[in-house]
Formats: sequence, C-alpha cells, structure tokens
Amino acid sequence: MKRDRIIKILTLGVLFGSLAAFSAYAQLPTVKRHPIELTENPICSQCHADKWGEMSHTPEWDRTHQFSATRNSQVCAVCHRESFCADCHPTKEELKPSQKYGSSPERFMPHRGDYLAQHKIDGRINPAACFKCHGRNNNARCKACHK
Amino acid sequence: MWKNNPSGFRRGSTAAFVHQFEERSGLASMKIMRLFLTATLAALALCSLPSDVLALDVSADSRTYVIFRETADEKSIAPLYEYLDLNAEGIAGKDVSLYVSGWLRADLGEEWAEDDFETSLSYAYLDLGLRPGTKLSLGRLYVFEGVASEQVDGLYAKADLSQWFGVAAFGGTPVEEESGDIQSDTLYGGRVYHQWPGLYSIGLSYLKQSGDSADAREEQGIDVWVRPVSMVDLQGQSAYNAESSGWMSHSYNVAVSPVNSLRLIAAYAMTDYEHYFAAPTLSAFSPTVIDPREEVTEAGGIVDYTLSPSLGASLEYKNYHYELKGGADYYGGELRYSRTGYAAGLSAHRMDGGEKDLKYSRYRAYASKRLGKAGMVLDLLNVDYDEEILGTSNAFTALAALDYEVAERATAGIDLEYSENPNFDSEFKVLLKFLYRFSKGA
Repeated sequence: MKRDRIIKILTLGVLFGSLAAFSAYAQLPTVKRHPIELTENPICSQCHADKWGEMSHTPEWDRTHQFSATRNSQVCAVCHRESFCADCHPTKEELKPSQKYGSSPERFMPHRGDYLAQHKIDGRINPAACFKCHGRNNNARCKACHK
Repeated sequence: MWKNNPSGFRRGSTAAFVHQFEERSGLASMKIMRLFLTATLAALALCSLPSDVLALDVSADSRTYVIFRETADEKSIAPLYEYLDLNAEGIAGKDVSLYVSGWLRADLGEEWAEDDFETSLSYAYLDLGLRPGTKLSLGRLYVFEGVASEQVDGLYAKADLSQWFGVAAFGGTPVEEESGDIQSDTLYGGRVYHQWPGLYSIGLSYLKQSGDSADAREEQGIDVWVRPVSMVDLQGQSAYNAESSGWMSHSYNVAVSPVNSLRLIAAYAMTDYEHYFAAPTLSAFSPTVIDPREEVTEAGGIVDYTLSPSLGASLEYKNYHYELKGGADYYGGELRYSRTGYAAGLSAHRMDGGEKDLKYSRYRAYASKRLGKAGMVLDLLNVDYDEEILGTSNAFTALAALDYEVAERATAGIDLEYSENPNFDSEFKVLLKFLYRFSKGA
C-alpha cells in the first residue's frame, strides 16, 4: 500500500511537472490537421526526417502500427479521428470492423467473412492475438459460448 | 422447424417478421427519437452558433446501419446502429477542443440480445493545449502509451520537455464492460522517452490497475525505434508483468528497403502465457484453458515488391514454435492493384497447424470501382478446412456493396452478404447504411 502511494505521488508529480515545464522545442503538433491533403497510405518519410517520418504507412503498417501508435498517438490524431481507432479498438462493440468498412475491401480488417468457425483454429494457434482486443473488454458476445 | 407464436403468425414467416418489426420499432423508435433529437439539437446548436464570435470549428459524423439477418436459432433480427461523433475545436479562440463519440443500438426485429436497446460512450473529453508541446485531456479517453492501450475516465497529460525528452502520464478509472467480472477502481501510469529526432527513440512505460486482487495489473515496458540509415527501420516493444514477475512478451521487427520498390521485413515475437494472460475477463483465456506453462515464439517475414505504380505483390511466412505443443506455419501471398477509383486484390494463405484440425487454406478476391458518385464492391472469401467443422469443410462468403453520394456530405449504401459455412447452410445478410458529415468552420 505504501509503495502504491509512493508510485501514485510520483506519477502525479511527473504529470504536474510536465504541465509546468516550458518547451523550447515544441515537438507535439500544434496543428489539428495535416496541412496538405494526403493520398491513401502516405509515406511520411518522403517529406519528414523527424518523428513525423516514423509514421510511414508501408505495406505492413496494419501489422506494425501499434508500435507507432503507442509512441506517437498525437501524430495519428493529425490525420485520424479517434473514432477511426475506436472502430477496431473499442471497449464495447457489436459490429465487426469489416461490417462498417464493407466498401473498403483493400483495408486490412480482422474477422472478414465467417470467422466463427475459423476462430476455433486461430484461437488455438495464437490466443495472444485474440487477447489484445477481447481479453478484458469487448467480449460480451464471446461469453455466449465461453461462459 | 417452425413454431406458431402468440401473434398468430407462423414464426419465421414474412408476416411474423413484419408484425414484430412494427411492434418493436414502435417502442424502439421512441428511444431512438429521443436520443437522436438530443444529439441533433446539440449538434445544430453548436453549428448555429456564430463561428466568428466563438471562433470554433465544429464537425460531426453520423453513421447509421441497419442489419437484417437471421440468427443461428432462426430469429429474424434487425438491429439499428447509430454512431455519432461530435468535434468542436478552437473553442473561444483558444487551443481547447471537445471530442465526443458513442453509439447506440435499437432492435427493430425479433429480440435477440439481453437488452433491445444498448448504448456506449466511446469517448468524451476536453483537450487543452496548454503550451506549445504540452497537452492535457480530461474525460473519457483513450490512452496509447507504451504498455498502455487503455480507455479511462480520468486525465491524460503529455509534454515534450525538450527536443530530446518527453513525458506522459494518465490516471483514472478504467472503462470496462458492464458484463465484466472484474471492476477495477483505478488505472494509472505513464511513459518517459528519450529521442534523437529521425534517428532513434527509446521509451519506458508503466501501468498499474488496482481493485480486487484478482484484477490487479502492474506492467512495465520498453519500446524502441531506430533508423540508423534511411533504408532501415527497427522497432519493437517488450512488456514485463510485475505482478507475476516475468516477461509477458517481446515483439520486434526490422524493415529494409534496399530499393524503393522492394521492402523486406523480418519479425520476431515471444509470448509467455503465464505472464501474458493477466486478469482476463473471458474464460477462454483462463489458466484452465490456456496452459500457463506454454511459451510461443513467432518468427517470420514479408517480402513486398512494387511491380508498378499500380501493382504490388507480397509473400509472407511465419513460424510458430511452442515449448509444449507442436509447431505451426502460416504462409501465403497477395497481389494488389490500385489506381484512382479502382482497387483489386487476390490472396492465398495457408495455416498449417501441428494437427489436422488446425489446418486451413484461405483464398480471397476483391474488386472495387467508383463511377462518379457511385461505388461498388465485390468481395469473395473462401476458407477450406482440412478437417470438417460441424460436418462442413468449407466456408464461403460473397459480399456485394453499393454506395451513392446522395448529397455533398451524405452517402447511402447497401451491403449484401451471402455465406455458406459450418454454422449456416446458407446465410443472407442485408446491411443498409447512411453516412452524413456536417461541419462549420471558424
């Protein structure tokens, strides 16, 4: 308990300390939207040599974007509304992402088609992939069978 | 099997469906109308405010879906979903923004869920840009910082202390499904990072969730990104479970682009089941199902080649190596074609598990075309299972989608999906959708 309290105090201290700090080199974007209209799958490194260049939407982006998102989520927000992230990463949801994006077949979407049968195999091969989204939340419908 | 119902209509008949649709839609429509009215009035109120006085940008997105389908127990259901996003930026001419998003479901057909009306608030927070390089968010929000990919009711602050260092911290009550077995009290953590912009970044993150002893989580993580030369990218993350005192996972990949048209990716991941599946709320991830003694290592790669500005191809392979069970291989390839107003793709993949009931082949072909204001999609997906599931060795799905821009900011569409799979001899779904965006700028 004492350790928890110390950690809480330290966390709050970092929080308020960071709020009070002056930044001479503003890295967080102060623009709300990308100033130039982008095509799909932009290669940010073509123009940016700094942290913005880390966000290139290369072909494997759908499988690696979590690394960039957990480092620079504020950069994601320049182009994407947070509801776009919530479509695939909700706490509570009833529609599959592919149902909302049926008109975008080129996008990588989990659970296309009949996944009920296929998940019995994928879940045994790699349950960690399922756990990321359904381990603690967004699993009310799973509980119909997994009681 | 068909059974009579109290309405006098033969269950499963079109007349029964229409009767129940009218009954349930009457009740549901009251709730829908109240919510729609409230949300619409709020949006209109914001949009009608003189933008030059308040100096704010207001936008909203509405996505409405109605799905007609039959459940496995032969219920004809028609849930209506409404997704609404509201965004107000530059409030009072300051760097203050408000973001709200949520959805509701109302059942217009037969009862199929526990409640015929469901709602969810995805996020609702105030965003304050305090100084250049600092940001504070208050409300229900998402946090993506290192080991934390969470939704909390609380606050989230982030600041670049200099060109080289930055910090982030968050705290509050975790947002959990009402049906969750675990209800935590607090969730907090943060991340500190050091970077050389454009060259490398290294971060340390921390998360603690507390409440009942069963749902306690304490995780620590390290994340790295390195670009030693312009053609090489290395990134990844390792996560440590401080509750169980063990590494949960390591996940890293390196991408090399020796020439513009070629990209080579090597990936490695390790998951230790004992430490990774912490505090689950689903029995499928409990220690009685997931053997905590198991550890899996994934290793593989992707070769992606751009044949022309419109055509690309990729091959991928991944091996799963288990400490206890037999291994598995996943491999396949894809062709992609895209140009303005047109996209198409072909793919074939094979999952080769250690046992016959863990093997399948997956094939997909899709094409989409835009003609002026209209768009159309055809998407075919076929999965062949080496061993039958419920007496069927194949799952086939065909999707045809049409949409039309009925106005500058409004699109209406319909998706027709047909499937034959182990759970349905034949399954037909219809999804109607209406998308509308309205905005007012400063």
